[in-house]
Amino acid sequence: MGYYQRAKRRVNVLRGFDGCEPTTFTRQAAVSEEVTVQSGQVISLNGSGEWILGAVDGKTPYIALSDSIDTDVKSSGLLPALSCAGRFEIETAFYNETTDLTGEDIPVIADPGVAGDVTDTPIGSAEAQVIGFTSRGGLTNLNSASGPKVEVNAVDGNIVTFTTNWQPVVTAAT
Amino acid sequence: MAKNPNTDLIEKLDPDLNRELTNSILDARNGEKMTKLAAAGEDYIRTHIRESGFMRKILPPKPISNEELDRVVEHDRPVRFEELETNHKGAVSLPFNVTSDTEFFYGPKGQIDFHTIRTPVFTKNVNELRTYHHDIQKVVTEHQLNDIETREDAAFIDLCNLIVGTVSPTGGKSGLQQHFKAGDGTNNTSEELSGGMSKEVYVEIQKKLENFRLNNGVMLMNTKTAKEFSKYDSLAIGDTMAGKMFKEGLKGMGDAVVGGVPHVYTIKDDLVADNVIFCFTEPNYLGRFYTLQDIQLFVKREDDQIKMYASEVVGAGILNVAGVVKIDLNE
Repeated sequence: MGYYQRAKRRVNVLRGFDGCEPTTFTRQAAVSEEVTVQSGQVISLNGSGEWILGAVDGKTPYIALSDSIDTDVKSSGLLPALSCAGRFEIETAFYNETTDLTGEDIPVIADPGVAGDVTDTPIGSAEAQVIGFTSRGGLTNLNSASGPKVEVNAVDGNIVTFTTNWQPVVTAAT
Repeated sequence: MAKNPNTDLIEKLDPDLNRELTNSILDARNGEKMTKLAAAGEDYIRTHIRESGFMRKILPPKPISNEELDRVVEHDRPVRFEELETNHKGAVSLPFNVTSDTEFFYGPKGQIDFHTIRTPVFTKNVNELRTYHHDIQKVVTEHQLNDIETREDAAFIDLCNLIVGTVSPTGGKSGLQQHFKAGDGTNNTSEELSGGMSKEVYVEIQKKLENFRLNNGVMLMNTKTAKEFSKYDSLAIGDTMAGKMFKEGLKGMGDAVVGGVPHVYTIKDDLVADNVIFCFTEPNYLGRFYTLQDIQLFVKREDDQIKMYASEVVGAGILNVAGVVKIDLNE
């Protein structure tokens, strides 16, 4: 019955992406055997240079472009991702549903509770490694309007739109 | 001396009999001769009417060849992948010197699985067959065909009920309401569906699929529900039609089309309850029904035993889950 639908929509990059150009700030690496990565999740590199879910202090966070089970990823052994140090406007379906990310310019961090999700943080919060700021209203539902659904490949159309702008935590020397 | 059709059948058993019988039965079905078999006038007493399947009228079956099948690595069962129309954000208005957003696009896909539908293996001693005046073997054969199509219908309706879900604004598999009930306070359409199958209510029913930007393809109801049309008076349908329906019943409508939408009436009220109407969109917007092996009859004689059964291998799916809505006019 019906057709295959993902639980979460794949990432969409509204601005800044050109897959054929080296100017697009992408990086590809192997995925740690301990994790499964889905397109749109926050990932970062561990000490072995492999993708793990979530952000690591002092390490550049990335947004996964593909799933770790995608056949090209499995075949090549490499998963591509977009650097949050680059400038992209991203739609991700992986966000903390208990926080209100509705609005403009809300600082977005990697969720410390659910690895791979994004969540919000108060501006000026200590230890907050901001990865970007919400745009186009932040949390939206692509399927909320009447008429045919815009997102037909996933169960729902809920996304958070944000512009990547990594702000690493800088601790003053003592 | 009167011929005994059973004896005839026994005497002419030959290697081509299976194919011959199958073709004759399928030809009969194509000619709709098997619908409402009570009219057949055989030399025996019918106990109830039977009918051919309604699913085939809603989602016409298509033969599928081996070349059209798809394979998966997990097992060696045949499957068929179907691709669905994708959707995306619309066009935008822009000022000069800026460009539109990037949008990745993907086409949804669904999988059709295949399975067998088979009747029991009917067994009879040929000498016992000689004692029947009527062609009981033909009757059993006809029943087998109907039983297979009834099984198709039952599975189809189970699937439809699963898709339309509960009476709730988000109860359908589409994420929106696909099951409407008259007089139920939980949905915002209770008022417009109240009052039985009046002309006004019927127009509202025909709008439901249009909420999904789909056309009405076929409407399915049981024959008792369809009789409600006979209550339409001259003001609703005009003197001529009202007169014809008073005299001839539903046959007076001619082809079963109301509001431009073909209707299918079924006697299977165990599958489609009284005052329940299923609205289906057009087949190409709804799903697929493949016959890997259409209905075949197998007859085998060993010594004085005849064994026969009918079988088919089919695969079907409602891939566009928004393509069916259910209306329950029971308050």
